[in-house]
Order: sequence, then C-alpha cells, then structure tokens
Amino acid sequence: MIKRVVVRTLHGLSYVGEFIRVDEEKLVLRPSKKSEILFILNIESIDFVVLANGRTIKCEFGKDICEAISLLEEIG
Amino acid sequence: MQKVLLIANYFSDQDWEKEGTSKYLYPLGVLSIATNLRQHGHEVEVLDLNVDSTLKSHIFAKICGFEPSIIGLSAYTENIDSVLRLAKAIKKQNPNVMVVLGGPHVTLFPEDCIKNRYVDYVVVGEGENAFLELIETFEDEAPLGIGDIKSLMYKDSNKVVANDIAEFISCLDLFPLIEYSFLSGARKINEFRFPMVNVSTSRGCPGKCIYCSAGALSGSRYRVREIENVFLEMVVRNLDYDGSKCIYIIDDTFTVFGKRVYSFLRYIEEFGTKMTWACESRVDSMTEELVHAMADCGCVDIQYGIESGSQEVLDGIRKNISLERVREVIRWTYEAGIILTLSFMLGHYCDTKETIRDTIDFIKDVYDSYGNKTNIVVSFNTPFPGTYQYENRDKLGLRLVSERFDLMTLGIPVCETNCFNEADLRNAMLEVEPFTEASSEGLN
Repeated sequence: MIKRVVVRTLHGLSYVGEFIRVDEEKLVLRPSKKSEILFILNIESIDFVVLANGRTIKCEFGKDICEAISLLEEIG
Repeated sequence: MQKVLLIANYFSDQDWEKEGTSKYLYPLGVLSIATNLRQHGHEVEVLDLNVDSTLKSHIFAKICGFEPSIIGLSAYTENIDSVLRLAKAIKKQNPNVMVVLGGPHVTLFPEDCIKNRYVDYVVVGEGENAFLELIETFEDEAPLGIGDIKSLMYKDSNKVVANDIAEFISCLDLFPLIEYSFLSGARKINEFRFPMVNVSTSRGCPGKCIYCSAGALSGSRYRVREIENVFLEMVVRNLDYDGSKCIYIIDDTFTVFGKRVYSFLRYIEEFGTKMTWACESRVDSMTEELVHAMADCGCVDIQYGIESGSQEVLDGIRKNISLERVREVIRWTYEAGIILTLSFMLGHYCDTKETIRDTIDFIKDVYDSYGNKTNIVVSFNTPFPGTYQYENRDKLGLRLVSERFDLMTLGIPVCETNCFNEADLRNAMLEVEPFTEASSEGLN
C-alpha cells in the first residue's frame, strides 16, 4: 500500500497521509497524492502512530518513532 | 488565540428552551470547523444540544465558565427560529460576544440571517476556512481584513455587506481527521439506528433529484477524499471502539465510483481488517458482484433511497432509477446478507392517490418478501429551500400548507397539490406505519 499512517498528536489532533520523511525532528506526511501541501509535525508532539494493519505504536515525545517508520517500510 | 464555543442545535423541531434529548447524527460540520480551529491553535469547545442538557441555565453556565469571545451557531431549516432565539438570548446576556451563524439554512438564506440584530456574522457554505479567517481578524496581526474573507456576510453601519463566495473546497484531504473528543461522553457513540461511528468520505452528490438540496449546499461537483485516507480513518475509528461499533459512512452516496469502492474493499482484504460498516447508496451504482464483495468485507447495512413505488413518479422527480432495478438490487442485497434500509417519501408533486397507493403496495410487497432484513423508513415529501421543487413549487403545482420552517421535519405533511391533500398523506402514512414499525423492531 501505501505508506500511509495516521499520526495522533499530543494536542489531540489526528493527521492521515503518506509518510515522506523524518528530518530535523519533523515528521513529514503528504495528505494527498496530488497535494503540494505537506503536514509537517514536530516529532516531540507525536502521541502515537497507527499503521494500515491496525498496529499502533506509542511514540510519546518522539520515542519509538523509528520503530514505527521501519514497520511502515515493511508493510509498504 | 481566540476562545470559541460552537453550538450544534437540535436537528429536529425540539427546542433548546425545553429539556430533552434526541438521537441523531454527529454534527460533523461543527466538528470539522472545531478541529480546524484547534489545529490553528485556538481554544475550542463544542456544545451539542442533541445530547447535552438544553436547559437555558446549562447553556449559560457553559458560556459563563468558558468565557468565549466568539460563539458559532449552526442552523438547519427546521431549527432556524430556535437558533435565532438562542442568538438573542446569548446577546442579551453577553453583548460583547460575537455571534456567528452557519449551516445549511444560513447558506440558503444568508441575507435574512444577517439582518437579525443579534447576529454579527454569517458564514455561507463550507465553514472551515471562512470561520478560521474570521476569528483571526480579531488577532493583533490579522492576515486578512473582514472585507477579504470569502463567503462572509456582515453588517457595516447597519448595511449588509456580502463578500465574494469562496469556491468549494477542492481537496478534502488537507484537514486533520474530524475530532470527536469535542463531544461529551454519551455523544461519542451515535445511536441513530444502531450504535455507530460516522465517517464522511465525500461532499456533494452527482444526482439531480428535485427534492434534494445537496447540489445547492455542497456543489453539484462530487468531491471525494482519497480512499486510502478513508481506509486509514476507518482503521483508527475501529480501534477507538475496539471493533465493537459499526462505522457508518455518512456520504449521500458512497458507491458513486465503483473502482473507488473496490479499492477500499481490497485494502480491507489485504490487511485482514475486521470491522463492520454501513453506507448509503443508489441502486443505479450497484451490481450484484459489488454487493457481495461489500458483504464479504464487513458491510452490514445499506440504505437505498427508493422514494416511490411508481415509475412515473420516479421519472418526475428525476430519480433516474427504474423499479425493475430497485427490485433487483433489493434482492441482491438481501441475498448477500446485508440489512436493507429503504427510504420512501409520500407526497411528491407528481403523486396522485393512485401513485401513493403504488408506493404503499410496493412497501407492503418488500415487507412481505424481506421484512426480517429490512428497515423501512417513510417520510413526507418536504420541499426544503435550495431544492428544485422548492424553487419551482408554483410551476410544479406544489402548495405549501404552511410557511413555517419549524414544521419541515419530514414527519409532518407540509405540502399538497390538486391531486392530494394533507389528510390523504396522513392516511397513507397510517397505512404504512405497521410496516415501518415492524421492520425496525425486527432489527433490534
């Protein structure tokens, strides 16, 4: 699929989009295939990430974000 | 940052001044605006009068406790009078609070609404962007002036100013997922027909039915979210409730694009997702193969708008379906093990006593054949503003028996023609009621 994820932030918002990259403490998602607008989320503000297979990885304050991304590579 | 209270009033003819609750659908428009405002850092609370206590004291205790600088009220045709009374009560007690009106009725009658002395601003159409831009004008470094905000109407020295109307939002994927945590605990589970969680995957409808205002409200251009995003949202909603609740796709017609639906089903299969879901559809977008594929992937209920048991009437209301096809799709759906929800209306402009009889007979026939798996919903045809039949009612020979918007609840006959009157419609409803009640009970 689809390297898509839902990212839930500690501010109580959920973003869905294709995983693009992590750089400079930011997680970058593309919300739509044709979109030039990106969601750029502070890793520190991420509560958890949900993958398409329903796997939920708790990433409070950026912890385990790498695990979430490696799992995403596997199912992608 | 601004403090904003958004109030979703009753959908029905119940009134915020009377105690009580109704069970209906999530106020998705209000929640979408609230989510967007929170994304931009504003402090937002939502009061949903459909479940929260509607006692006047409760509403004002909420306002007193939260101290919002802006209060947004959403209005449907049937509750506009109640919403305006609420605006008045708010302004009387809190003259410094800005009152903003939005919602379907406001979109259709913005001038009438802004002329109300207790309303400061009116947002026409989709509210996410206009509401955000409006409240940001109250910030120190406002990016836009009031006159620059599209889809906004307001008063300047007692003159009504109508800004240009914004185009419909073209990409629905650029917003965060609608946040349900704004709702009180009880409301997080919607119990309209069965415990369900709502997901919206599109806006607008390609249909041209003369009784529907979707075109006027959401644009005749049908806009969809990317199906991968829809699938992911449903995975998350399913997890939120441990898979125990049905996910109801609240679109007017989920199955417009068969390829899109098949993609959705493939993701469910590929990831072995266990969830139950339901949707609304049109019989002309269904095939036998698609119905069975949907059933195999957890679809438990499909609502079809049938509207009449007379082909002549279906043609007259531009439903663009045949009764032959209706019967086929009902059979396929039943055989696939999916619960059928079939909706009908009595009192179309082209109805006669004979065609109303055809509809009654059709309902009885469906009940006799599929009653144990069928939920039959019958309402009175109601010419809502924005619909072709409302705008052209004189030409169609449709007479409103009352100009009162609060009677437009679908449960009260509000129109008649030379071929039928109010009493005929009430009698027809009495005849079908045993089947609607029996079919609903069968599903409980």
